[in-house]
Amino acid sequence: MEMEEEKSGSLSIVSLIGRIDGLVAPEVEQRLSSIIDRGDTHVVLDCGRMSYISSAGLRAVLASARKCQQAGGKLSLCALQPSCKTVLEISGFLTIISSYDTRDAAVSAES
Amino acid sequence: MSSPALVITLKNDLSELARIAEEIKAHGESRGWPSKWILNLNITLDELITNIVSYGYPDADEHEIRVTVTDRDGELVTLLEDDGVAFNPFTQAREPDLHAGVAERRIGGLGVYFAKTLMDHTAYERVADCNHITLILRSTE
Repeated sequence: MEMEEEKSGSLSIVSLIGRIDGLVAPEVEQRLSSIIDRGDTHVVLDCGRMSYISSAGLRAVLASARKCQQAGGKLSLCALQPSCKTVLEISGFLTIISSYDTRDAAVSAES
Repeated sequence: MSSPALVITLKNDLSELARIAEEIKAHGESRGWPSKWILNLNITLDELITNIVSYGYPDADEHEIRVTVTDRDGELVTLLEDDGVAFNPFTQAREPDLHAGVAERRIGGLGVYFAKTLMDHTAYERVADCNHITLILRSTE
């Protein structure tokens, strides 16, 4: 698992790369938490290179979304691959977290 | 027709999750399984094994978890065996919260819910101090 971070105006775009399973989910949550703590509370998670996410990964995403919301910001997702989208759909996550087909769509909607 | 079963043994360590997913994908592709079988089985095993490794062992010892996958007559039958504490995930896991908003939602029970949703059949038995979970996928044709 790797994470990359970019800024676009006031948005922080964080790419999650590889498998987000129970092994790495705590690290993902911790790193997102420090990004939000430092004041970057409008976050787009770019999932274009995320090959897999388990419920442990969803827990990390949810905790981060909650933290953004509590700080007056918002967390959204973009570019989910079909295999990851299945998990997010079954869990009902797509009804509570905004998801965009592409990074450009996310940036223009959330900026 | 039945193929030789794929048998994978794992240690009770979350670092094993990526390896089992790779092995199942490679085997499934070589056997021409529908891609949905590979995806659904990998999600289900990942969730169930994560629970076993995280909550199944009161000690800190190394344990073996065994996965046996057989495809026969349009069915994929997977047996997951562990010697952890007796636990039937299909009746004892918490019901998932699928509706609350970001602020209130709880995640517990989601992994087992994935298993029930993604498999055509799930079963649990306690056999000789081991948990036996059977997972069945059927072809859609």
